[in-house]
Amino acid sequence: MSDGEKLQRRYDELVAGFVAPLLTGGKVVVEQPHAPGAIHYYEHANTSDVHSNPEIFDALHRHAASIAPIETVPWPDRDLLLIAMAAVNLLHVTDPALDRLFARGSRKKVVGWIDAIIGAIAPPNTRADALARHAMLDPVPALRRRDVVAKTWAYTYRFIGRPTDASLLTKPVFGSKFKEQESLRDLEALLADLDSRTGLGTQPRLRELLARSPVTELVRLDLCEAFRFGLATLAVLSDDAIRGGVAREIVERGEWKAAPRLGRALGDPILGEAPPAHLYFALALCFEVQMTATLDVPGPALPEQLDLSDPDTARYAAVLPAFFEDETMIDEVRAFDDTDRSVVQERCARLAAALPPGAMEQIAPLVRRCQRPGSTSASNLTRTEVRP
Amino acid sequence: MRAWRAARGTTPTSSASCCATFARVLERAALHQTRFRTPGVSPDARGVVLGQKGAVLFPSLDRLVAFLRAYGEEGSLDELLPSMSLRRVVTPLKTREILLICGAESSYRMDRIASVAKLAGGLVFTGTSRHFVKYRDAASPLGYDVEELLDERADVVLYHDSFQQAYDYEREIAFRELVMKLEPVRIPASEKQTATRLFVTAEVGIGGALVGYLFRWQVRARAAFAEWPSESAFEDTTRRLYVFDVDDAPTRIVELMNDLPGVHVFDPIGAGFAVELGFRHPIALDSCQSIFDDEALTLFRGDGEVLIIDPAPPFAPVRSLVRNELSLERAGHTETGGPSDAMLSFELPLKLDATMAPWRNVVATVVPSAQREWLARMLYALPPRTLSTLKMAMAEDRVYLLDRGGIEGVPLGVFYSEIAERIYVPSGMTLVPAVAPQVLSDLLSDAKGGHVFFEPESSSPRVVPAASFGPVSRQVLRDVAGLTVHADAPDRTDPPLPLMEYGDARRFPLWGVPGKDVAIAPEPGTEEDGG
Repeated sequence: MSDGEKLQRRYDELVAGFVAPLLTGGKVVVEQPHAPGAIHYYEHANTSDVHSNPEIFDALHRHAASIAPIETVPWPDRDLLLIAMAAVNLLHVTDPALDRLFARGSRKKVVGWIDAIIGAIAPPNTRADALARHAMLDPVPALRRRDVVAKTWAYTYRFIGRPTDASLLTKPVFGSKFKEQESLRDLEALLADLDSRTGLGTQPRLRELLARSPVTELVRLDLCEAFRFGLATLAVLSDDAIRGGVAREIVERGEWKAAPRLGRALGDPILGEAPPAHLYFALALCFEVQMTATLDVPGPALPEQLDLSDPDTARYAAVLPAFFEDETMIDEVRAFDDTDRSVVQERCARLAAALPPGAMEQIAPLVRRCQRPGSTSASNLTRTEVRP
Repeated sequence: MRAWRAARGTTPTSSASCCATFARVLERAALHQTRFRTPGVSPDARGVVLGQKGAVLFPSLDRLVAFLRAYGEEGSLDELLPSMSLRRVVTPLKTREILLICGAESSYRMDRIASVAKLAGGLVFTGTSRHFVKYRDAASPLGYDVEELLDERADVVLYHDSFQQAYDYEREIAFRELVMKLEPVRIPASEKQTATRLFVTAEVGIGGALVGYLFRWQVRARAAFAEWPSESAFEDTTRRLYVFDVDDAPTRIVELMNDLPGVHVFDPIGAGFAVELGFRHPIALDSCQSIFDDEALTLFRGDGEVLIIDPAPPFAPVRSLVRNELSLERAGHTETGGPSDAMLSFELPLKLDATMAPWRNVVATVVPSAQREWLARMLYALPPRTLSTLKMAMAEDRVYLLDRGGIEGVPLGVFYSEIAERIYVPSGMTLVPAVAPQVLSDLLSDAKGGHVFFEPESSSPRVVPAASFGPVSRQVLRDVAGLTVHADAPDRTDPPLPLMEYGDARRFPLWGVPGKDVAIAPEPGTEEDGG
């Protein structure tokens, strides 16, 4: 078999065996890992499975459009394929079969490939690009492995992430039947287990991969402990539609779960020296998350026991009172009707009363310093205004 | 009020010629005061300052109408009318107002006028010729006198406690003309009452049919024919209308006539004037009967048109106007009979024969199949009430229609009268021998509750089962099949969480992986993420 045929077969495996079931909720099959150099073939290849591309396109479009309106998604695309390759490789290293002799060393090599692939992923350029990456990466942390342990008094068979052998398990062993025990483990747990055993550092690489999709990074703040507002993230947030969609997603997944991460990112000293336009998008996201959470339900949408003792959470909570107190943000406040404004002001008052000393003093200078860009920047798909 | 006075330009600072000081225009009259600066006023028996006339100033015509309406409801306008004049007056600043002047007669009448005028937003004055001073009020129970007369050439000068103003007459408004120009207002359905006597006007085309209809239903009615010259010089024909004077008409007939296009039903308020049923004139007409001529008939239509029939035409009972079909040849067929010696035992078949008796209980019609198309078109035009009560049975060659309230709404086919329960003969005919309805029912006991129609061309009656009759809407209307529009929210296809599975285990996992020897380079033109 020539290299070309091999590459085409691997490409089909990647598209039809991994990407399509990942997006449509099927069973992804992880064969061999993908070497970084294969992208030179993949980026020009076309799958021989005629059904995969329409399915992937539909699923990407549907998932991406749930965040913000888009016309199309770029598929197949070099960056999306690189993300898929990195994800396959991350899944591959969790295979316990690699613990065998002669196979152990492959993990280190594959992790190196992951680094190379992640390093080759460029920041998103358009709204569709950013949202398509999110559609591709959002289900990856939710991937689960099905482990089955079948026992009799004499034998124990383990099917770790592999199909059970029905012909084996249906035969009674000395008169007794197999008792099957099934468990599902998600990717995060698998990587944590692997890191604890081998010290390969696959978990940080998953976060690094997620960071290549700023939208996913924002909506999965629970996975990104070290989240901060990078340039790529701010570029994505400069799109009003994406920012609104991200705010909705954050509220849907739990505002106060994301609050500490957002608050920590606001306390990043680098953000204090960021250009005023960049700063505005970071603060605007926090502001819009609070607005969305407040106006989606009756009342100020605050927990009964409001605990702002955590400085990160307090920093996030201080954004809303800071916006209301700052006279330059009158447009943001004026956008509400009277009823909504009264609800928001009620939330504002409760937050201000619960804030620990010092939180307001950290956020208020940021709000004063940030500067809302002109209206033309909001609707542009290419967010050149915040590019470095 | 302040705005109105300001518009008139009478505030003390607006015109030097028409004002003194705000508070010193009038002074209160004292008890037993006999000398007044206002010419033509004097204390009456109660000591109230009164001139020979009273004047009420209104800012606009609608306030005047409100006053007349309220006064007419409370008392009688007829007592004011002989001495009443309505004028549009104008100030030197060309502000126009309405001034009503009437004979003061007594302070009791002026009190009534003042109380109603206040409600309608008018100011009340009293005087005799040109100078009118404010009529008494709660602040000065005996009235007012002027501080100083205004020396200005004007038709009338009014003195109020806050202004004094000279007015010139601009034009006279005839009260009768005002009444004729006002458009009646619709009465809420809850207030509608049916009078025992009604006037009805009908266009010529429908008038003849209405004469027959009223006669057939034994309604006491008189009819007349009114003519007017054409309103346009280009129109040769005169305008003609039937006018009916109807007594004790059943409610259903009144409603039918009210719904008929070309027919207007009027509720008489006085002897010679009436307002269309369901409407009310803005002014209480019964309180101003004197403006209507006794010899004329004035009819106010709801659309604002006023029909004046002067003199009122002679009315004739409708029974004398109904068309009779006479055949002189029949008279020659009269034969003289004599006693017979034939056998006395015999059987009498029931036969149809013509009768001159008025039509009663015309509740059915039989429409031949040739007129089915017409019937179908007519069903589109029938009013909802008729459609709801109409029942229909479809036979092979004819359609039977039944309406317990009267079948006149369907002017098609042969009308049938119900002479006994569920036994029908063509209207204008009767069964001979004239047996009692109960006997007829017994004779036709084998009809089994069906409807029996005696037809002129058939010797035996036709029985239509009662079950064959159904509402028109069920019998002829096609089923309306609604188009189901899928307007639900689009299905949210959240894919299930994906599962992962490893492929076949290999002894050397990286053996044969393509591209591992090729270095990867970032896409040209892309930049590293600084974040």
